[in-house]
Amino acid sequence: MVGYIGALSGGTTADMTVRLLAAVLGLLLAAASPARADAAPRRVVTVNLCLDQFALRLAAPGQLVGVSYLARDRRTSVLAERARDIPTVRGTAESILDLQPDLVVFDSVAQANVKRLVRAAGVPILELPWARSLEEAQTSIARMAEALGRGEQGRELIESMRERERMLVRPGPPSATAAVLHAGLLTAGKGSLTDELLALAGYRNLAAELGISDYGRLSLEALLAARPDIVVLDRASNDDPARATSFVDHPAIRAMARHSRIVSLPLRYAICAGPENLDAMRILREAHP
Amino acid sequence: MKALLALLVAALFLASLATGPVWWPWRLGDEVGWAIVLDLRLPRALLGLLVGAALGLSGAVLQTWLRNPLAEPGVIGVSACASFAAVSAFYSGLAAVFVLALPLAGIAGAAVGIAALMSAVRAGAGTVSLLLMGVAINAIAAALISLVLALAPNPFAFQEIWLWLAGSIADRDLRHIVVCAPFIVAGAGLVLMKRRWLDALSLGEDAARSLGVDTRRLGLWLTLAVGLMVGAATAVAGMVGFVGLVAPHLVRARVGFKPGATLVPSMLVGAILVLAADIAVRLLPTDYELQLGVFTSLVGAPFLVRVIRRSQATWLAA
Repeated sequence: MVGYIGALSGGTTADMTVRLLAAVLGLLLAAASPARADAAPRRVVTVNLCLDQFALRLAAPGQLVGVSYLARDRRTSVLAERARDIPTVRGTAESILDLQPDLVVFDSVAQANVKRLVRAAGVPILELPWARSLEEAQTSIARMAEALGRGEQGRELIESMRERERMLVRPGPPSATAAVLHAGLLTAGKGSLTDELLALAGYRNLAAELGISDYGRLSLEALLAARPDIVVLDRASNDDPARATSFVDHPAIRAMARHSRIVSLPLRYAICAGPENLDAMRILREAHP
Repeated sequence: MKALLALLVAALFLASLATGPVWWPWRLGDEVGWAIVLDLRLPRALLGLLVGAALGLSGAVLQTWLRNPLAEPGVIGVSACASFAAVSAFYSGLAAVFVLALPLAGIAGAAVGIAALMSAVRAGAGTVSLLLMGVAINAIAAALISLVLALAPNPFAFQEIWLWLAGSIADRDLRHIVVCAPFIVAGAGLVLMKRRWLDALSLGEDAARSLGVDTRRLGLWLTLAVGLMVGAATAVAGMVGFVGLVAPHLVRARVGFKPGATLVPSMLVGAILVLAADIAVRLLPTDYELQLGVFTSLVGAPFLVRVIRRSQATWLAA
């Protein structure tokens, strides 16, 4: 392999481009283990943000040929930079098939109709369940890595997640209360991903204690009354104004800052379960009173 | 009667200050108590008062002016136009740079809506044409609202179509009051100054002209006044339907059907309706608080049906 690349050195710029492409292709083929060289898909498309981010971390160069449009949005995606040069799909069968994929990765609950159309066009699909915890994210990563012929990268990624989790987890029982506010005053209740991250970082989740499960609504009044130690929200979410996110500038939130620490947690770190959650955990740990 | 209505407004205003998930906020300490009442409940109560009064008064003016008991900012599309203009100013980020952009856009939108309607009515059209014009304006404005929200850069904006098509005064703050109150008060002042002329106008433009009214100027005056009220109210609260329809109907018989005399009571009843509806949505045991506009429509739309059925024979044919 090294000799092969060495033989390519020299030549004109146009030649170089062609040769580089050839080299990349060679690397690609070499990366897949010999036994799976035929089985590994070469043109993979993912159709939702969370799957996009797994694939962007796992796929070999050039293997991922389509991601959802949200993967390019800095506010929602931690890998927006890496997704910049990959074509985007909008969840319609036509935009997916246009990329001539040989594997399309879907989330197992939604888009039944698109899945049927893609399958009918003879393209194999992989369905992964919606990951709602660090462990489920690791299961999904392992399954996707396997399907992409990138088992080694998958194991490395999972190992690094576990390693960081071990470093960041706050030992002992939770010693502070946190409340989470998302757009539209939705909160992360019992059983949600953020609930897990709060627990690992040493917090009790106010919404869970109020009996809210998954993603219920928390009124500002109830929040003021409960006086949590920290309030977690995305400060930047209202930079482009919307009614759903206008609460971040509400005087009631400012009045709260006297009792509670307002912690800005960018949406992209906690919107999907995945390695980026450990950055959310780091922010929460650093904010712990 | 006015004194009684004013008393009811005051009572509901206080009830609005006292209603919320935390019943007695001062038990949490003075600081949190005041924050809850001043930062969360006071803006809501004030907005209920202002928006209700603006819609009630606008409904009374429009019904007299158009000589049509179905004329109402929501039904004839004036609120929808205001909503579209406000949505454009809000989601483009203009309102964040220049605070008055939001109410001014709403006012301009409302005024354009009224002008479009009056052009149809001037052409000698009857009730049916007026209402059909309202249907068309509503449809165009709703489509444009969807378009603007779909183009907005904030990823959550598109979910807010319902919020603008069925208004809400929850989680607003005193800045919103500061922005809309002067315009609503000015609009109400303009209307009440011309109260006497409204009686003449209710006889029709020709009759009014023969009584010495400059109908053209009065028309511009009323367009401006209703535009100020509906535009500013819609810009901060979204579309709160049917208040302007119901309020004048509730008072008309009690003031001897004199148009000029319906104005102040309609304004008070409007405030009563919105304050009461906003307290009701807070008390209903729903997981998500019902939109104020959804609630007023739920109660107000059957009222519209009743009005239509009752008076079908007399004027629908006109």
